[in-house]
Amino acid sequence: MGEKIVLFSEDGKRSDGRSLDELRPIRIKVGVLSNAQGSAYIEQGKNKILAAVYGPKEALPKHISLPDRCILRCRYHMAPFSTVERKSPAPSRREIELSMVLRNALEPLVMTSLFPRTVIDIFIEVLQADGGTRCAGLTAAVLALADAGIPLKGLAAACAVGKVDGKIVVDLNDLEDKYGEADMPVAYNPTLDGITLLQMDGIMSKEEVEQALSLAITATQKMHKMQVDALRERFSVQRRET
Amino acid sequence: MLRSNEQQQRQRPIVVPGEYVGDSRFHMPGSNVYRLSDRMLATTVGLVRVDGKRVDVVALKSFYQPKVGDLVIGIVREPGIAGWTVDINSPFLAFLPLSEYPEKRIRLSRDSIGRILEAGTVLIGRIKDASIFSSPVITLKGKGLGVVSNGFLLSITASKVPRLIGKKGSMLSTIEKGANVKLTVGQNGRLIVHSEDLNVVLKVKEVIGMIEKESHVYGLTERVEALLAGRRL
Repeated sequence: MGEKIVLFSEDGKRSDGRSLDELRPIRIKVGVLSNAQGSAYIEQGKNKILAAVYGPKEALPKHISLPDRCILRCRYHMAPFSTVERKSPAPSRREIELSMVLRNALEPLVMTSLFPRTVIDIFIEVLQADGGTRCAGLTAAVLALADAGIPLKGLAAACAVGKVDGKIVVDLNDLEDKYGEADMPVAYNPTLDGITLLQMDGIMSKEEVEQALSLAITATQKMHKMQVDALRERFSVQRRET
Repeated sequence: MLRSNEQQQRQRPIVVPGEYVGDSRFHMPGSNVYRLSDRMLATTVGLVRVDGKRVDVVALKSFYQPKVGDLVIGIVREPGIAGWTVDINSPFLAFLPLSEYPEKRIRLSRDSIGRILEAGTVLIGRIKDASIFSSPVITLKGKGLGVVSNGFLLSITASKVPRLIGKKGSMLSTIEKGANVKLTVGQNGRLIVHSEDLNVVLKVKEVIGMIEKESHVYGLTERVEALLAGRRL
């Protein structure tokens, strides 16, 4: 105890040199796996996440199927080598909960009524974690769904906002997540102008939440543009070499 | 040539899910398009096609949705009590009832259903019944339908099948003439190359790959012809 973690430098920059509303560098690639029906890979700062989608396919066992829509099954998993200390590969309580949270966040985007009695499997594999993996995972999973050709109402991007040393910051890294006062992951769909994921851990005032939410929406809109570019790049024609 | 391709692409940009494709006060939503108050939005990655009042998005990757009357190429998944479940390259498994099998007399007491059609058998069928409430039903009764005994099975995204067939079958006949082979194309994105020659099959596979990748770029037929002629067997 005793030693204080420095989260801001003297010139007001964050621990990794970013300004308060700056996102970490993001790199997105769609269609990276050939065996899955749809896939996407995202790097957000030190986060490295792979998402893959299978389906829609027949729901087995049959009793899980729904007569009027397809069901989504989501697995969020952190690889044993994704953290500084080895993580047990067995699904932890946190991973099981996040799988459910992400499934609930993705379900409103998918046109489930087009494929009754079927199931869509979504796999989110965290290869390297540095805070905000659920958000980056959701951003990649939406792209994997679009890559698989599954009809969607729109794309959604997710980003965490939070309070660190009394300041509202965007896209928290692991350090800020651990030592900050509050953390609020937000997933936003610009097409429907709707929030599809909103959680909060910590304490913020009403005004702070409002400010954080508007910052999150601005950040996710930027990420949405990146998603669109990545999808276009995937489907643009690869010219044959002559 | 390159310039005209680029121009064509610029005219038809790729839309992504949720992207605006038209005003619903003046247009009607077609396939892969949904309405949100006055706006019409795309649901899949694809290319916008306006046909009169109707606006469609031609998906660049899609699933086969069974429609009555479609010719499909299926693979027997599993024999059941009164028929077989058949994989038709769709989210839905199809059912082939015993009554739709062309053999006139089947004695179930003597023949087990799994022996008549084994799992893995490839067959050409037609969709007899399709609704959102139950599994699609296929039939083997009809001209050109039945079990496939030889040939190679290839696949293409279901939304590209119309382009593979072409207007009045033009693209298909170009490939058949160029590679000197007979093809059977199912609406579900599977096709059978009726040939034992591996070189012919590989050539057809190359052409199919090109159609899948470049179906939306202008001048595809010429490029297919060139590919077939350039490396004529």
